[in-house]
Parts: sequence; structure tokens; C-alpha cells
Amino acid sequence: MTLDNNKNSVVDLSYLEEYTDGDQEMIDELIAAFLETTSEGLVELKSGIDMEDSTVWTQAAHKLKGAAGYVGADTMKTLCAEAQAMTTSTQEERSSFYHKVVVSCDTVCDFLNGRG
Amino acid sequence: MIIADKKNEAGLIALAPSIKNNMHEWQIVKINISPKSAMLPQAVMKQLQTQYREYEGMIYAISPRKIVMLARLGLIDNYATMKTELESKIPNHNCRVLLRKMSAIGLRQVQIDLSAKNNSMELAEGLYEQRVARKDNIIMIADDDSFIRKSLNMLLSASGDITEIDDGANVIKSYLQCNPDMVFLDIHMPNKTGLDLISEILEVDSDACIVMLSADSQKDNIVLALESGAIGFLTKPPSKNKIQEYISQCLTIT
Repeated sequence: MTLDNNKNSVVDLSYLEEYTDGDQEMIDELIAAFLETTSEGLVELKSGIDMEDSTVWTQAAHKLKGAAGYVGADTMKTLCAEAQAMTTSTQEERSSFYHKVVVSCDTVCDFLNGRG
Repeated sequence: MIIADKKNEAGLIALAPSIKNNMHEWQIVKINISPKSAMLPQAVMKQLQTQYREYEGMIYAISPRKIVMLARLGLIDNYATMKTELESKIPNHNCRVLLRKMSAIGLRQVQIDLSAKNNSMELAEGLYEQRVARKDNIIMIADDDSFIRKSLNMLLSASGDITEIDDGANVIKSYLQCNPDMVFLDIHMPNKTGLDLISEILEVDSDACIVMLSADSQKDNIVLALESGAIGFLTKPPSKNKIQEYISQCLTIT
């Protein structure tokens, strides 16, 4: 497997390499956990769109942001940080922003799924 | 700076007005002497008394391996630097130093420590003694995010058995059940935040070794965590070296 650690890449797996001492099995396991967390996080984020209170939305964005940091997905991390900051947003604003987050997450997940 | 006897409230009564009126200038320093250390608490107390003779405060030992110093060190900008300075005042130290800002809860804990009716420190001491005596290490990871728990578990399982908690409301109960050597505590958890839990854990076990975890590394969070009694702060994703550095600071992990 080739790890693409280019700054312009969708992800930068150098953190995971360092964290796992390059143990491929551990890296694969963490990436599988990342994909699962991202999927769950997007479901939670979506459910937070229509709620009057933005707590569910911001918590889901926080969770996605944290996971993005592990795989060096900077664009996803930045978008999720922006989503987390939308504490006083309207449902329309959240709905619109949700689609941006989904596109970013999907790009990262597609990349990781196809890296084999 | 005076040295007080255990269960002697007189010294504290004399200092109480100054503490209450200038609480922001007062600190609580807890020093846990390693079980492997040959140092006697009396020697450490003498050293501290000499080093801080110009300061208002008192020092007392609450067990053969645990010392508390209340000191009016003034306003502190950087608790990490002050902690390092304190450690340098104990030559050849084999101790873990915890430095906290004085608070109403902290003062109450000191009053309990020195109270003749006190038995809570025996509870805390019991927990610490159990950790020292048992063969296996136990590490608690309290984070509502399963991904973070998994990633930490992978790394920490080499240092001990892992207990995972995903809800702030269950942390204290689980802490008392498993008596962990070390706790990695997330700030944002359902039902109770990690920052609130630091004080609650330290109330039941003043020797607790707590490292905060958060993706939000704002200075306020870090300062609050360290002032509340955490030994460190890890920003997610945490550095492997930093995690190992904190593990090495825990006196009961072997």
C-alpha cells in the first residue's frame, strides 16, 4: 500500500504511521474505525439539522472533527470545525452546510476505501 | 511557612482569613512520594519549608507518602512552569507534584484532611495502596467517541488493562469500582463534562492521575484542566510520545 502523505492529498496518514509504529494491521483497524465513526457522525449530524437546539449538531461536528485529525483530513477537519461553531445557526443554514460536510467526508472515505 | 501536624486544624484556622480574602493568590500543592523512594516526608517538608520560608502557608503530611502544601505563591501565569520550579525545589525528588489553584472545594478538602473526624483520606489512601499493591495496571479511558477509545486502547493496552467509559455520569462509579492507575478523560462527554469530573474524582481520590483529552485545545480549557488537578492535557489526535510521557509520570504504573 502506498501512503499518500502529500500536503495536497485528501488525507495524510503520517500521524497514523507514527502512532502505530507503521503496524499495517493497526492502521487498517483504525481506518475501519474511522469509516464507521464518520458514518455514524454523519447520521447524527443530519438528525441535528431539524432540531431547535443545535447541541446534537455541534456534538456530531465535534466528533467528526476529532476523527478527521487522526487521518490528516484537513479539509474535512476545517469544515467540521466550522460546523461545530454554528451554535446559533438556523435549520436552513445547517441543512446547507450539511451537504458540504457530506461531500468532504465522502471524499475522504472514498480515498481511504480505495487506498488498498 | 509552617509545618502542621496531621489532624491539626489550628494552623489552617490562622490562615483561613488570608486564604478566603485572597483566594486567587493561593495554591494547593500535593506531593506524592514514589513507593520506590527512600525519601521521608519529613525531609521533603523541611526542604519545602526552607525553600518557601518567605511565603504564607502551611505544609502537612497526610500519609507516609503524601504531602500537602498550601502556599500563597501569588498570581501564576503558567502553572506548568511553576510546577517544574516546585519540582526543582526538591532535590533528587522521586515524587509527583500536583499544583492546583486554591478554590472553595480545595479549601474544604484541606479542612476535611485536617479534621480530627476525617476518614476520607483513609479511603483515598486505601485506593492508592491498592494500586501500589496489585500486580496489574488499570487504565481508564472515558470518551464518548468509540473511535478515540479504540485508538487509545490500542496504544495503552500494552501498559495495562483498559476500562472504557462512554458517559460522564458513569465515571465516578466506574472509577471506584476499578480504581485505575490512570484516567484519560475527554472534556466533551454526555451528562457530565470532563472538566467537572476532575474535581469529583479528586474528591474521592486525591492521588488520582488524570490526563485530559480534547480536540478543543483552547488555552482556557488547558489552564482550567491543569488548575483543577489534571497532570496533563492531550490534544486529539494525541502524540504517542506525549502519551508515553504521561504514563511514565504515573507512580503506580509499573
